[in-house]
Amino acid sequence: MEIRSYILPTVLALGVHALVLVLLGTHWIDHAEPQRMVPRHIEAQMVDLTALAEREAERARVANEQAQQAEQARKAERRRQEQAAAEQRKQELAKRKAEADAKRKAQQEAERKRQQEQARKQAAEKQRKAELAAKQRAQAAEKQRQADALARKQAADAQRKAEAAARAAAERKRQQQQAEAELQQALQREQQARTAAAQRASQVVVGDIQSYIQALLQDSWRIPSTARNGMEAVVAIHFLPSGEVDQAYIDTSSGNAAFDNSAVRAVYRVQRFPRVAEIDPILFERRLRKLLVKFRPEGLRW
Amino acid sequence: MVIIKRYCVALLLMCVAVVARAELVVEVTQGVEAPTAIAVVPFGNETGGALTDDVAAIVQQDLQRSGFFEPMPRDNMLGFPVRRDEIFFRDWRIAKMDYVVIGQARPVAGGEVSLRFELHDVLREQALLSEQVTVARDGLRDGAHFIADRLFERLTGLKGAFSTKIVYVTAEQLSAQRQRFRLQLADWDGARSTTILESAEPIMSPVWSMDGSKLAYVSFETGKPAIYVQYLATGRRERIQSFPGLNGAPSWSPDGNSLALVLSRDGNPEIYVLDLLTKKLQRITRHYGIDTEPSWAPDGQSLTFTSDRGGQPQIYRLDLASRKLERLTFEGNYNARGRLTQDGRFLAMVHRSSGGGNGFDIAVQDLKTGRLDILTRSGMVESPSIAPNGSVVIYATQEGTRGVLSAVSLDGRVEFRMPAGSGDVREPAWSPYLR
Amino acid sequence: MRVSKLTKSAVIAAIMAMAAGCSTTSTTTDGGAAGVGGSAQAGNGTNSYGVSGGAVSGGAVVTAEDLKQLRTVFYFDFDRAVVRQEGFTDLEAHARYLAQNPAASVRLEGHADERGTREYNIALGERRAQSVERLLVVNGASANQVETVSYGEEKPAVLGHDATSWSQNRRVELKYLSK
Repeated sequence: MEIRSYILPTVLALGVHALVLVLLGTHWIDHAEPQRMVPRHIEAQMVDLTALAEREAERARVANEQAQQAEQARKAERRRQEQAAAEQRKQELAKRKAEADAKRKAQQEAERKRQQEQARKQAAEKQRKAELAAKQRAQAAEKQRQADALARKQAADAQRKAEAAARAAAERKRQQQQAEAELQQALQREQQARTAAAQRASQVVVGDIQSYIQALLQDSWRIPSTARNGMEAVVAIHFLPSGEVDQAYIDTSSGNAAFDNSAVRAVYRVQRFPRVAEIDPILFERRLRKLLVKFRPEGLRW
Repeated sequence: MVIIKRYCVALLLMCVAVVARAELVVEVTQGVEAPTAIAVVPFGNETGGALTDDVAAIVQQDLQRSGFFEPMPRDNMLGFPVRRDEIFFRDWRIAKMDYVVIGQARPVAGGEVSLRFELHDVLREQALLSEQVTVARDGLRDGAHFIADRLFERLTGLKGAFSTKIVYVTAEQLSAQRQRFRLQLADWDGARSTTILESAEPIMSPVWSMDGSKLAYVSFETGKPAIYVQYLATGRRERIQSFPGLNGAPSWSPDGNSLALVLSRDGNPEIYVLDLLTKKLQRITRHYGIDTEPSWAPDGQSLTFTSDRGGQPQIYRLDLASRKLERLTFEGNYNARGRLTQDGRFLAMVHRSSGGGNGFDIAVQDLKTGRLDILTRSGMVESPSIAPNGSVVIYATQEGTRGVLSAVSLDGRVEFRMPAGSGDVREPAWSPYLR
Repeated sequence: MRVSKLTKSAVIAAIMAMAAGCSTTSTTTDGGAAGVGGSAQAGNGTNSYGVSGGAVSGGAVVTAEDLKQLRTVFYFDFDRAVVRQEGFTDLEAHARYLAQNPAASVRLEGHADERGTREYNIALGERRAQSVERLLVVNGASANQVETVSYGEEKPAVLGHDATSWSQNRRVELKYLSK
């Protein structure tokens, strides 16, 4: 009898859980979306996020990377214009390879490293193919090396070899573009990983700011005598990028006017939260322009 | 029922999941438990003559004594603005003031004085109140208390009780055998006291009717205790029918039609309710122990009283309709003279801690949570009486060997001594809201 | 109901009174006669007054002159309304006087020390006076010869705020309205 009385609720509870999971699923997808969307944001943003994560000490390195990336872009442009110059292409690719190497070391991410390595090798191979168009034997040797290295790469090589045999130098140009695209993809993956790290870091930044704001407000909140344990008021704060409070108002009232008022006043009493001004503008825009603060006293006498 | 509980659990889980995805929220659970900082600037005077009372000083003292405010000492003020455009908000802000009050006394035709007053929010540089009140030239105190009431209500959401009155008893030892007892009426802050009854025999237990028009008290003027009702407007007195033995501890019902009182006519101090219209007497308690100090709950549904039926004085509550009896106090070995706040939530009483020696102090018990807090530390207090807005408890204590009146805010933050009259001062009773 | 209670306490009181009657007797002054004013010198606590009833005990006729020898102030413990044994013989003598002089009457004034609340102390003083009244009635006085009034803590005998003062203020004063 006791057990039977649990059946219906259990079924219903499971149903509700399932429903919750479905609902959550959509939330999670919704939640995961921006993560995948992040790479679409311009590089500047991602760099900035990284900068946030790594703070002042990393800033110089980031700036350097930024410059390198800008140069890369510029060189890619020039390369497309001067396709004929094989030698130059080689140099460019070599440079790119070096850069990719450096970045790989910096990031030390096994997955990305493997893929980048592959991409770099492919690029290098293609470069050699373009360079030694006539030397078919050398090409074959290279293919053999590739086959030794990776089965998957071998297949790709074979395909590319067949393509190369079937088509002329013009075809090779297309191959180069493909390689470039692949390199770009590798770079993108790398950036993606870096963005994820930066986002984790930005969470840390946000958490820091949260406790910073909390500390300032706890110092400035004068709890009125009419306050009772269990009262709860939510105040919405709109910040200016300078860290100043643009406006603060009751989002959810406690039902006690004096209590609500004390909460809003606590915000206005602080007036300016200097460290909010140090936050990256985009992060500020996305997470901190409007903030909700819940005032809920604990440990009062009543 | 059980099934509903299980649904609730499922629902709760769902809620938790939703909350987990909610917006960025900072939670503040700690703050400074400090009164509000306010500056009451001395009022300007355009009446062309000196004023008998310092209005701003009275307002400031009222606010401070409520426990809700911490006014800025006048000496610390950088300037005394009278008009809004004279307020330099930045200065007040640096002085850490939240609010500034300014005002001005101006003459009105007929010899009266108009008091203009403004309340400004320093943080937002806004005017929150701008009003005026006209009073007689000798009624500046009334005006000041009115202003304090308005400010208090605007800032706390509670009705101010600064325009209320108190009554209390004084006793003077004129010689070894002669004493003089007086019943005094005064402003809540003890100012402007007047004698409304004088006797060579004890006067006790004054208590206000709920409409504030009359008092009931015990007088021994005939050599035996009897309960009297005295109308404040006319001074007329009526003696309630008295019985052999005790006649004491009157308490008005909220509707003013009945008095709860203590009689020993049946051999033992018991609580009765006397219908003032029909003169019908109804016995409420029936116990061989002492039952006394009845006090009507503000809703009129029950009486709290002191009884030693458990071996020592404790406070009980009797529901008048169901006659259900409930013991309210358990902490300490002496709890007596309970008084409820208007919302019925808090019970102020005279309390002595178990094992705490001989000290009697004022304690407040939260009837919702059962928590009891001791508000005083003087060890010899009695007769707590609560302000109608529940913010302050006034009580009698001893200073040296003399009885004086003191008050403490219900949260225990602010304690202050009332101006001492002559003789031994005792048994304060706070009026309801007047007018 | 009241009668049965009275009977019970009367029996108990009588037994205790008999026991008291057998105890040591001594002579001493009665400090309480002067009431409020004279109590300061009466106030050395219990040792200053033993039982003075020896002179008038044993069922003899009690004269008005004898009354001057009798104690008229009876003391109590904190928050208690039980007459102490030491007062029994004198109360018995008062009761006999009242029984022998039906025209005489007494007023019993109950008091409490300042500790505790005023109205509770009024009730306590009332019960103290009633305790004394019961002993008088049990010993032969008529109920209509005795009246009680309680002043609680309103009329202290001693104005101090210490244990000695308090012990002297927890009292019932017996006053003859007519002799």
